[in-house]
Amino acid sequence: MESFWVALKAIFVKDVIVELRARQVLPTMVVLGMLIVYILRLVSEPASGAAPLVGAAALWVAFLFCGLLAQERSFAAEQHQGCMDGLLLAPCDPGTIYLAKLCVNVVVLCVFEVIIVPVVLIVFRLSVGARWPDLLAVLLLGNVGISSVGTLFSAAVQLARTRGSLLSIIVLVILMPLMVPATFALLVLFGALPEEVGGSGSLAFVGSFKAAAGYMLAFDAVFVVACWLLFAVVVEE
Amino acid sequence: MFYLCLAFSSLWACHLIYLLTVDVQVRQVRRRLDARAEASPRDA
Amino acid sequence: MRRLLFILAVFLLTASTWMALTAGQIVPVQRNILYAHVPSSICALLCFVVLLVAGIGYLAGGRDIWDMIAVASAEVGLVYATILNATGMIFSRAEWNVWWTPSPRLITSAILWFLYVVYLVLRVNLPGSRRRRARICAVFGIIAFLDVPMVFLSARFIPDMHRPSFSFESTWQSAALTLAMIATVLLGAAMIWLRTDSLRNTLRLEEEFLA
Repeated sequence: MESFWVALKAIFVKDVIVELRARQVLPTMVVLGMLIVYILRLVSEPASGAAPLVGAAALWVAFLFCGLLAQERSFAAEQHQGCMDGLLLAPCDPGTIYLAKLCVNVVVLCVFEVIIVPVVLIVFRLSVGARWPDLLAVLLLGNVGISSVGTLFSAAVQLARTRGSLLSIIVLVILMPLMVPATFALLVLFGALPEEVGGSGSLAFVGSFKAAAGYMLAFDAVFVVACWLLFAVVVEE
Repeated sequence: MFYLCLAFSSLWACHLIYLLTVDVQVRQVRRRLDARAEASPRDA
Repeated sequence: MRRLLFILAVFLLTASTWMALTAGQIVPVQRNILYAHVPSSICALLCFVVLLVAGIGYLAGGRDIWDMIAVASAEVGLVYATILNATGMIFSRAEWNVWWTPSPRLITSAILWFLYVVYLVLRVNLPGSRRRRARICAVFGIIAFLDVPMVFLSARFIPDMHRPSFSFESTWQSAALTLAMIATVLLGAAMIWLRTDSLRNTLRLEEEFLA
């Protein structure tokens, strides 16, 4: 048990320090995220009445695509000079490596979120008012879900030349069901939908905010555990 | 009625396309097997 | 044996179609598309279960036959998911005059189709040894199978279009539907078997060549 925490902390701190020194991933992510937000704002200009919907969509799309950047890098750096083999020789389960990388990716996405959420709120002229703790919670749940699947498959596709695109198609197809309640939750927070929607709502969603958040929590729990257990299979030789 | 026929024809079309693809692959494998059977007595 | 299964499946399928369109015909004639739509949805989901079982079997045992069953069931599952989507879209065009709408059933079948496509693309594009590729595809199969109930659950956040109530007015209709489902599952099983055999022969040929 002791070695679990030691290894977790060690790998986590190593990756964070590497990123702080190299400063490669986060600036690229921020630029990509802002470009996505601006492009979506420009193309949705005629339909500016649907600003909450496009804003929520822009936020999640930015999260998805920039998250992919971060996750791809998280194992790409280990391919040089046999770092991956060195990591696997550590006296801990391979699952611990996965959890450490997951924590790194979640932290990177959180930093990204701090920068991009104000941009989205300003560009789309939205506000969450007093519910910003709920906003942070929803974004964290989405964050963990996006990172969980991406970290697992990033280790799997590292040897491919087209690793970025392979990782993208895998992660996007698995995360499709997470995006529905995620957008619903954001729309409730932006005030476009009431707390509970029944029957046929005007923006075509039904359910309640609590149900959406509960769903995201369940999704995260299932996938973090499953990816943690399957990581050993992916990296074995 | 038109849509009904369209649906059933798409059903059969999908099956047949897949079976044709598998058939082509089986033929290729058979061709290679025959070529090897032909070639090996000469090598030995 | 395999040919027998095929012939049986095709015979049952024709019999069920004939029964469906004569004695069991549903009154607005385009609703008979359901006789093609529902069985293929059952078969597409069953192919996914076979994919999961084959993936777990490969990871547990390591024998190549499981991997080949997995690929075969992914391909056959793709065929049935294509049929599911095509008949679903044709049905929604015939019934509600739109080709596609974000309704739960249509979204579920679209995601199922995408999962099969990504499995096959992954299969083709992963580099490394055959074993590594088989292992990673098995892992993707397991994760994707965990994803499917999530899709069903997330679909409740989307309102459903008004669906006509599918009450069976006569036993002919339910019999025809059941027969069609059995026939389609048998046909799917026969195709998976056929494909697994062809893959096994290809593999044996390549191994002999290298040995």
